[in-house]
Amino acid sequence: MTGILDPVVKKREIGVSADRAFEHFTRGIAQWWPLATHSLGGEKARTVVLEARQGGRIYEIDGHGNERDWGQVSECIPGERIVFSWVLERPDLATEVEVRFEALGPDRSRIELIHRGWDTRPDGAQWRANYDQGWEGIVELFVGSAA
Amino acid sequence: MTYGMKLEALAVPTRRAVFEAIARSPSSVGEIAAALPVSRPAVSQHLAVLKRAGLASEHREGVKRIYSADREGIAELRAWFDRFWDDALDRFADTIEGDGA
Repeated sequence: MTGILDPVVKKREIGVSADRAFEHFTRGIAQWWPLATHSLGGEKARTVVLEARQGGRIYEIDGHGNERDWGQVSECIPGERIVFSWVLERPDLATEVEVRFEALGPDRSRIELIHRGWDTRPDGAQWRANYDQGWEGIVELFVGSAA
Repeated sequence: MTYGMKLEALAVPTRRAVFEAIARSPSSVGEIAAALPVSRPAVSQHLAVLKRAGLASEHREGVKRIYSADREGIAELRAWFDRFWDDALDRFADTIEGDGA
């Protein structure tokens, strides 16, 4: 049975190479990310950028050019994996996302996304306390997708 | 229990304060009322709404009723992120296979 603080793990098999899948996930993120429901600005968000390099940022941009940070890339191996913090303007509630790209053939690959850190940070106890108190913040961040 | 109902339950600032108080430490109505600028009857009403939304539960300790934040609520949040990534990856997979691959 899955614990409530275990990582969220998602897998998809897709009909392109691992390199192509990686490119689509990173440089091509604006083409597929469901911005209207999965963003800080909701309807105001215009596009999203994922800088596929160590130290790169992930952020959304609104119609006025204002940027809002989602997280930062801590590890990036093109065609294999990318790891980024998932902050969404709430450093006290930060978690981590890892995306792995595995080649299954020349035109077939598997993407595995792991969203973790619910209870595994070194300061886990503090994080849990903040998490409970920060419910309001998390809920409001994604209020658009609850509609 | 829908996510919308939880959102509504937490949309009232005072009720959110009550929820945050019991998330920090399980408490009786009297203890919550003492810590917040809210009357005991108002605290009781907010707790009733939180319970209906699946965000609070109660148990007895002697003659006292103690209220605590419901861990199921946290499970719901995790489940919500679960759906969040499903939606995102469905779009990812659909667009990558839909452009001539």
